[in-house]
Parts: sequence; C-alpha cells; structure tokens
Amino acid sequence: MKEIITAVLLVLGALLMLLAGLGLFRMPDLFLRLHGAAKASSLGVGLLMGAAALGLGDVSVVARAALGVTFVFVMTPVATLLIAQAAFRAGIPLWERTHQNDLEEHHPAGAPYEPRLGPDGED
Amino acid sequence: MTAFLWNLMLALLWAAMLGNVTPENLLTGFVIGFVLLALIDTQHVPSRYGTQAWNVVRLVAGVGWDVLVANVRVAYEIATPKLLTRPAIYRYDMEARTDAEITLLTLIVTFAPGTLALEVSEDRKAIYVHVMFATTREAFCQELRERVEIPLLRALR
Repeated sequence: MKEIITAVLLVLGALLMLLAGLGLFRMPDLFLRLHGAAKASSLGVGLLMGAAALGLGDVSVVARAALGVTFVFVMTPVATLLIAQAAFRAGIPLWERTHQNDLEEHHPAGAPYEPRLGPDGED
Repeated sequence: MTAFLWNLMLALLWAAMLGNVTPENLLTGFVIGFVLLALIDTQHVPSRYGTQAWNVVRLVAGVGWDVLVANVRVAYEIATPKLLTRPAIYRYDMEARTDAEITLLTLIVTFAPGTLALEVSEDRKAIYVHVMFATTREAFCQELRERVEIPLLRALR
C-alpha cells in the first residue's frame, strides 16, 4: 500500500514538473509562463518530497523533506515576484490579448524606473 | 504567536518530565498544553489562542485547496490545445499594512488559482496582480478579499 501511494505521488509530481516545462513553450508571454512555472513546479517538488518522505519513512528524511518543501513554498513566490517585476520594468511586452493593464498608468512599461522614497526613507 | 511558542515549550517540558523525548510524548504534551493555553485567562481577558489557532488552520486548509485548484487549472490550460486564458493586470487595494501581512498576502496570491503578484505600489496600499482568467476588476477584488485577505488578516491579527 505504501509503495503504491509513493509511486502515485512520484508520477504525479514528475507529471506536474513536465507540464510546468511544457507551459514555458505553450504560453504566449512571459507573465503567463510564470504562472505555470511558479505553481506547477512548486507543487511538483512538494509531491516528490512527500513521496521520498513516505517511501523512506525515516524521521531524519521526513524532517528534511518537510524543511525542503517549506523552503520551496516560501522562496518560489519571492523569486517569481522579482522576475515579474524586473520583466515589467524592463518593458517585456504583454500578450496582445491582455485586456486590461492597471499597472500601465502606475508605471508605464519600458519607461526607466525611478525609485521613489518610501515612508522610512528607503526605496 | 507567543502562545504558540509557549505551547511548544510545554510540549518539550512534558516530554522531558516523562524522561523520554519521543514523537508520541511531544504530541500528547502539545495537546495538553494547547488545551491549557486555550482555557487560561491571560491578563483578565479571555484567551484568543483557541480561536486564533482555528483561524490559522482554516487559512492553511484554504490555501492548500487553492494550490491544488490552481495546479489543475494551469495544467489543463497547458495540456489542452486551445488557449482559454484571458489575462489582465488588476490593481488590488489591500487592507494588509505590516511587512508580514503584505509578504504573506503576495505569497498566497502567487499560489492562488490563476493569479500572480507583480508589484507592490510604493505607498504600500495596493498590489498589482496578473490574472490568468480575468473577469472584471470589481469581481476579482471582491473574490480576493473574501477568499484570501480576510481569512489571512483574521489569522494574523
């Protein structure tokens, strides 16, 4: 029974990672590609780690897997946000069917980014 | 948060007093400590630890569900030949104010179905969200507020 669940988790995780990779080719612009890369890959890693924890069943392995999953789930959104931010500021074009862009008026795409001072004097 | 640390310490203490730090002893210690902390009267006001913990559990369960839904939707979009996506970038005026609240909100938004945090405005009053399956800004903001921000703030404050 344990082997079956481990196998299912492994296959699902690998499948998700494959879809995340495919998404990089299928999606029309960078921001949509990030959707697939951020979501599918982090859950994929989570499933693979879960499979490892379940399959080996060792306390030290479980602890490390849990820690690994936590790190991935905390770091992925940060990395994704920074990539998206950098791309937008660099003026990477949006897909032409993007039907509304509230960020455009806040900061025109491609215009040089000038940091404004925040409340505590930092950017 | 402090109550949670106390809870962990009580669990450790319980296990240490039994003379055997095993996962089972830690768990029973945690449960007993939880009940005590939930009942205890701190500074003559009823403790909120019990309801607070319940709010955190609800938030984690909700976010976990969102992660699964998000993956199914994105996977479907990638695996089927027709692109149904209708992207947009919406401004969302948030109620979250502290660094921790804003960070957690953007983190959850990135994992929620079809949304991706793009930018936090300089005055820290709004975030800009890239949406994969857009409707209108009003509908999107209302859904985000009800599904994510209110549960999050309830769990944190």
